[in-house]
Amino acid sequence: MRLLAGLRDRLAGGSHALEVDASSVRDLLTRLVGESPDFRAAEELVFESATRDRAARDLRILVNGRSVQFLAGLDTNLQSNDTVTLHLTGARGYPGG
Amino acid sequence: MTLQGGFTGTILRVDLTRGSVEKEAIREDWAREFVGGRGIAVRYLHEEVDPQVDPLSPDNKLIFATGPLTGTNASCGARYMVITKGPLTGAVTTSNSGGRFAPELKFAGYDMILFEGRSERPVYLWIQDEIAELRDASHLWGKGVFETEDTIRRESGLPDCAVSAIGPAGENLVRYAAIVNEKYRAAGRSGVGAVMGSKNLKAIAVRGTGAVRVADPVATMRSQWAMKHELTQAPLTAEGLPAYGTLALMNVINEHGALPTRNYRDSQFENAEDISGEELAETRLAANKACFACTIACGRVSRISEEGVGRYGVSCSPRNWRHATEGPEYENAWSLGADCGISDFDAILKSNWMCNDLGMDPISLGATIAAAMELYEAGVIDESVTGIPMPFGSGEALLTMTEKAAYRDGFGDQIAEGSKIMGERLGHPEVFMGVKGQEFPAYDPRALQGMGLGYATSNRGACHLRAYTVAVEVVGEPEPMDPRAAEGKGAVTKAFQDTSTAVDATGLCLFLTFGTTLESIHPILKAVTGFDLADNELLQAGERIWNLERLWNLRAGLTAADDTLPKRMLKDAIRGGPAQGEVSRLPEMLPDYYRERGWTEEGHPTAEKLAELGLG
Ligand code: SF4
Repeated sequence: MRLLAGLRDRLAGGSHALEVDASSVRDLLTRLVGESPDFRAAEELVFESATRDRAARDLRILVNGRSVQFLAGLDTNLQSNDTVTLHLTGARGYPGG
Repeated sequence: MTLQGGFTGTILRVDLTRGSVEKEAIREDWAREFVGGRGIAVRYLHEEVDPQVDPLSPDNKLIFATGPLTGTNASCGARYMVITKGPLTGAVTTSNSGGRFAPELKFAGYDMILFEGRSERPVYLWIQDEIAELRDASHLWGKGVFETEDTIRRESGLPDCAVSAIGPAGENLVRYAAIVNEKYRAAGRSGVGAVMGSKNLKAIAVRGTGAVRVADPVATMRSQWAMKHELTQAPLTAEGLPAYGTLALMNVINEHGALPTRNYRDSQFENAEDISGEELAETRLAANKACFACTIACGRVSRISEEGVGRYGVSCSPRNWRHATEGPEYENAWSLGADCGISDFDAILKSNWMCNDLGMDPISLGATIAAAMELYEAGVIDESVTGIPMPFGSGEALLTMTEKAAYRDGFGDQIAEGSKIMGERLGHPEVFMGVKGQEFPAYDPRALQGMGLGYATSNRGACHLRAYTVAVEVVGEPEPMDPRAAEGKGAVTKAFQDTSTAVDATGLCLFLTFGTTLESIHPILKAVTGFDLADNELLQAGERIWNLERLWNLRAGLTAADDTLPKRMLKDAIRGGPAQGEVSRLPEMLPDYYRERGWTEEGHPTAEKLAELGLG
């Protein structure tokens, strides 16, 4: 998996990329939080709440370049060699925002 | 009606042919209908300039316009726009710049400067509060932007004055020459600098000691504080832009498979990480920098390595940052980098620095060099034409052509024309990647369908700042939209275009919209101007301005046939990466867009729409 910008320091000790064994996006995020030195901060960064049923509002998750918003969300299944990208973002501002 | 605040009420009319500078009252009715900045200036252009005019003739006019919020303490109240007919596009152009030039102009007492005619010899406009006069610039002609600015500051005895100038590219009528203020802030696109050069106008220098009057000071303070607070709560304006600048997008867009590479032949760049915001922040960032009153501070100050300085033999002036330069923005790092297949960050930074000093738009420059590199690799041109090897990936070629284009030296004379004319002259018009003569920015419209519609329908030619559908298609805010889908893109493109136009008219920076909304800008505008604005009046002003620009373009001879994309985008599918197999679905989106706009199938605003907007 690939991490962009601030997530590198916060989740992976500065690494750009990690190899993670996971069967779904939810599974992958759970493992990522579990292996993080600051467990609580990582959970807050990745999940909307401690129930872990939704990704954080400003976290974007791509599987092979496609946002999971257009796949099956956290339930998106992963195959070996899939590339998952995480980046933080946020932009209100346009009509309806 | 008397203007209560925001506007100084005075514009300068400079007749360069006669050498006269006159003050006149701004049209108050237009200030209300078209707000300021881009809006009111387009209204003046519509009234005073024949759309069929040769852009580089004395009959074209060049307007520098601030908005009512420019120079107030509203965050990002730093902008001015340059409005004219663009020599790159033959369309209306509206180029925008920040820094502190625009507030200084307001402090001196002027909302706008309107240049007409052509001076016989080089001049610059000197403004010091009520003094406004043309001064000889013969000794500045041929000089770069940096030396021009330093010389004027020194000679004037007022080193705090703000200077907006052209470099050799503007003098040599490079079709994408820029106007640069404070050395690194530019009204960059469509060749506004060439129009300035054609008028023998080298610079404007201004020192103002007044203030911007506001109609309701208490409401102004309250509303602008509320907006500042919002900016501290939104991740992109609170953290993303200050930490990484716009360059944060390099990796993000690449991961989406939407990063145009090697003149749009590929859509992912294998070395994107090397020229990313993360790389810049880790290894080269000296500081970030803000325009006047901005609480975001997206600007970068970046080090060029000692090795890079030696390697390319271009040294930064010691009067500026030593071995450091401002930028690069995402678009520039893309055009000078990925689009040319270049991952040498030193070469990119230096070319970007040279663009500021020579006064050129790095987007069109990089994209034109990329098109030439494609022709070089295809064997259409060789060293006997270009003078140097020009394969994709060559930092040497980038820097050599940056300089040669500005001086129209050798093959640089072709590069200076932009990739449309260059491609046509070399018998390969298909290498032009753009719309209405202007090169694309940094998002592949096959991977992000909304961007393709935005490029095709932009009034000033291909542009990312007119309808930034990246917000919904990549960022997913306010609501995510599938980047591959054509459905719904007409409505969202219209909404983004009208919103961006409204922000431009206020004199604020478009980047505000990453953290706030028109609903928050609206009360500030109301408090500053005293205008009794209805709820959606600002957005409707944006639509009015957009339609007026369209009418002007139609009278200039543009048609619906110009609302299109190159064949490579419409027919040639993306060859690899996440968006493999995609083409632009513009033919599906365009009729939908025209309907949303209330235009005919031929792209003309209907009589009903014009009446609704008060343009009938
Ligand atoms: S956000 Fe960036 S470009 Fe906009 S006003 Fe602030 S520093 Fe200038």
